[in-house]
Amino acid sequence: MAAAIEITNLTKQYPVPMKREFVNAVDNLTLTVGEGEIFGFLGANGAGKTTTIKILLGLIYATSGDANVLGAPAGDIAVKHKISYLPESPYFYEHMTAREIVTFYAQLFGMHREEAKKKADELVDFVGLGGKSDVNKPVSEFSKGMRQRVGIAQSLINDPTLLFYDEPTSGLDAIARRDIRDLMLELKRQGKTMFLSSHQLEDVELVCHRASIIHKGKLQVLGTMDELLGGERVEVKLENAPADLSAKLIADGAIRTGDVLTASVLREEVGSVIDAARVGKASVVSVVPMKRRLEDIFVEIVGGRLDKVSGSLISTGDRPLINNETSTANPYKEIAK
Amino acid sequence: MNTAMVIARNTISEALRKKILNAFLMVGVVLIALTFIFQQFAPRQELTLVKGMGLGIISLAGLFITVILCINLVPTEVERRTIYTILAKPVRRYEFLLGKFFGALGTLGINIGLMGLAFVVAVAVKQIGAENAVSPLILFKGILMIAMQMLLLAALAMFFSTFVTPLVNFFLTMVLFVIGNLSSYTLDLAKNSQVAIVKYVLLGVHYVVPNFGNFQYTNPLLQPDVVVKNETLFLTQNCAYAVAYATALMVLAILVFDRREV
Repeated sequence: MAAAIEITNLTKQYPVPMKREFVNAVDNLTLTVGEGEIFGFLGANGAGKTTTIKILLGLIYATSGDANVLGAPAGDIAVKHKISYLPESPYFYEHMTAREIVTFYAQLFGMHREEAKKKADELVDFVGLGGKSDVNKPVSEFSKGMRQRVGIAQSLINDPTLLFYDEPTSGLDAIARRDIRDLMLELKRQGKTMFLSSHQLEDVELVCHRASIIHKGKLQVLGTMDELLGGERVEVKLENAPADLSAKLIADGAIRTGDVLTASVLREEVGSVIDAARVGKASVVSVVPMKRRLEDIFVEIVGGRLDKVSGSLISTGDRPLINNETSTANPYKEIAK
Repeated sequence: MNTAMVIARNTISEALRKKILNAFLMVGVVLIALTFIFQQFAPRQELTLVKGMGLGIISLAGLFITVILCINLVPTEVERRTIYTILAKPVRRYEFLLGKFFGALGTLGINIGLMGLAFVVAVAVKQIGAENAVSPLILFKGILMIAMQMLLLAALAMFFSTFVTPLVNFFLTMVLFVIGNLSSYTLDLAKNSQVAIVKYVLLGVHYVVPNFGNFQYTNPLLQPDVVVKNETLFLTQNCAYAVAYATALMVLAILVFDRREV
């Protein structure tokens, strides 16, 4: 898979007012986004997400490091024909209608007025603003969700290969959020590449192929959604488990309810636990993979508690761990013998 | 350049909806109409008064419209983040800046044109039945000079708007407008100064600050005895000066804006 975005050791510093110091808004960031990939770019407010996007779009300049978009340096004018951007809470010229706004942006791609108008009509319909009641309204009378739809319409004018969406669902009500999410899923179906910065972690879980979390400008976590969420733990329920196995599982946090023992074990230990249960003539009631939520990981990182989480995804300095800190010893193998 | 024109058209359509600019335009037109209240003077004095006041009003309203419009064009786009979606499209920064500048010039052209038209009509009405009436169309020469002065002022305000806040820009532009109008005095002061450093500072001010005083063309229009030696040359020189200086300022503005982070 060719790279749509390549960021290498990217750093952006801003001077601290009244001091001879600099603060790193983006700190030695390295990551790659493949073509056709929907990539979630997560982080708390001020983590450096929008700064990174602005560098990739050529709106601001990196202090050091490289940023390439579709094979060209960030900000390249030829590449801008193939990309699009939806900023957080986009503002448009208030006196214009949705159609006029999209026509204006279409003309910036060199389209003639008539061609631009035609394209605007298509896109305004596509984002659901083509109804009689909306089509002649100035944007000043639009709700936030409607403005966001205008933003999405303007982002699709050039049938972009790569889309940068910054908080596309922030501040929207449930219905508007679902609609925008459905639009993003449609873009995913069409095979677009998307660099999606969002606080709505459920949306990221649903839409993205891969995601990363940055904190204070540094990359903390990067992985596929399966790696991030597909948890390294599995819930195993056993009935009439043998004493040695029960004792070990309870010591590891299992809960007994009557004859049934409910344990959370590492994925690679599941086989040994089931073997041990069979040897001990216990019944295996259920084996269910335990899914993590992106929110848990996010809160752990942003709250600085990630190092307390067992298993994977622990960041060590500048190097993000991409899954799988496997335990070296499997205590259940001995019991299974 | 096509992109710059798209941005210019959009700038004009937005600017013409700005209430404050329209207020200045209305005040200008109304004041020109009010010049009819001077009935107590002799007809010739009255006509001179109407012409003088008309040109003065166009100049003053033009000044405020130019400054208020141009100091805000770029900062407003940055503040409300419309610039992000524009520069994320295949729009070069210089195209954006030139689009804004041409849009401002278009808006000024419409405003000064409307006030000028009202003024010329007012003078034409005033001259009905008057002896030795001069075609009011010659007043357009005065209006052209005001327009050129505003072109230069617009370029100055646009240049500052690429790196200072609108408030600072307002004061800078206004101060330079006043100093530029006193350009001939700064030259005289420099010539007469005994202190070397003062002399060079005043000379520097005279040559660097745009000479807005060049565009004063009220006297030849009001006083028949004031004759400009070569009027065509005078008008052409002033137009060329305004265009050349404005071009230089816009080149500087483009250089600054090209590295600016938005």
